[in-house]
Amino acid sequence: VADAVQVRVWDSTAEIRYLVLPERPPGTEGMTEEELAALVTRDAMVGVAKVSGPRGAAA
Amino acid sequence: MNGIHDMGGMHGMGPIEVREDERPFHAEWEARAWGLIRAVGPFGPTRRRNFRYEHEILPPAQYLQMQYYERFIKVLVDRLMAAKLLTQAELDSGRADPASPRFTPRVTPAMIAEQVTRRRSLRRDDVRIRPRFNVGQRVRARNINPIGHTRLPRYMRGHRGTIVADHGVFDFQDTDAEGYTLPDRPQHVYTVGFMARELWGEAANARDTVHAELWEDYLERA
Repeated sequence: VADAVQVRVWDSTAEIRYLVLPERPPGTEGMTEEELAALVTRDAMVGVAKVSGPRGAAA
Repeated sequence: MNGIHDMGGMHGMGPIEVREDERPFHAEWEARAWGLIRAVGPFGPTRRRNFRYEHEILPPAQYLQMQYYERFIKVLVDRLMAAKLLTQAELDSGRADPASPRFTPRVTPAMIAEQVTRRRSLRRDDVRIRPRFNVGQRVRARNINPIGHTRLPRYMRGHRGTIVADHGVFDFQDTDAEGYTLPDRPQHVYTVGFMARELWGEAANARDTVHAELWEDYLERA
C-alpha cells in the first residue's frame, strides 16, 4: 500500500459488523455484474486486499 | 482481563494461514462443537459465566495451542464439570454414568431450532439515555484493568481519540471478577477513532487510524 493511502483499521469490539465495498479496479469497464463479482475475494470484502483487474494486474 | 486473547499489538505470532476453500467448518467435529455450545447454552446450568470470559481464563499456553473450536469443547467440558453434570470418569470413558444427574426437560430438535434462529442482540432500543459524548468530541479511553471480561482493548487504554459515531444504547458486556454479567447497565456505544501514531508511536503512518466500538463506561473527556 502506497504511503499516501490512508489505512483505517476497525477493531470489532462490540456487536457492530462491517463489509468493505472493494474499489473497482481499472480495466473493468463494460464488465457484467457476474464478471465483476467473480473478481471479488473474501480478503477484499474484509478490506485487507485490493481487487485485481481482469488480467490479474494489480489495481 | 489482561489475558492472552487480547493480542492487539503483539508480535511474533507468525503468518496468518489463509485457506483457498474457506468454509464455516473444516471438519465435522467443529460443526459438532458449535452445535453443542448452542445446545447447552440456554438449557444448561442456570447461572452462567460470560462465554468469552470462559475462554479468557484458559491457561495462556493451552489457549495458544488450541484451535478455535477446540476451545469451544474445552469451555463446554469445564462448564459441565463445574455444574456437576459431567464427571471426569464419564469424560475418560466416553460413557454416561447411570448415576449421573440428568438435565430435564429433555432438549428437543424444535428447542434447538428455535434457539439457533432466534435473533439475539445487545441493542436496547427500549432504553432512552442521553449520550454523554457527541460526535466530534475528544475522549480518552480510561486506564482500566479489570479482572473480569472487558471489550476495551489494552492497546487503547489511556489514549486519546475522537467520537466518530454514536450507535445507540447497548447492554454492557463487562463482567465481575468471576465472569458473571454486571447488573443491568445499558449505555451508549460509540465508534472512537484513534490516530495510529497515538497508539503505536512515530513509526506509524501519520494518516492511518484505528477505530473501535467502545461502551460509554470506557471513556472520559480528554
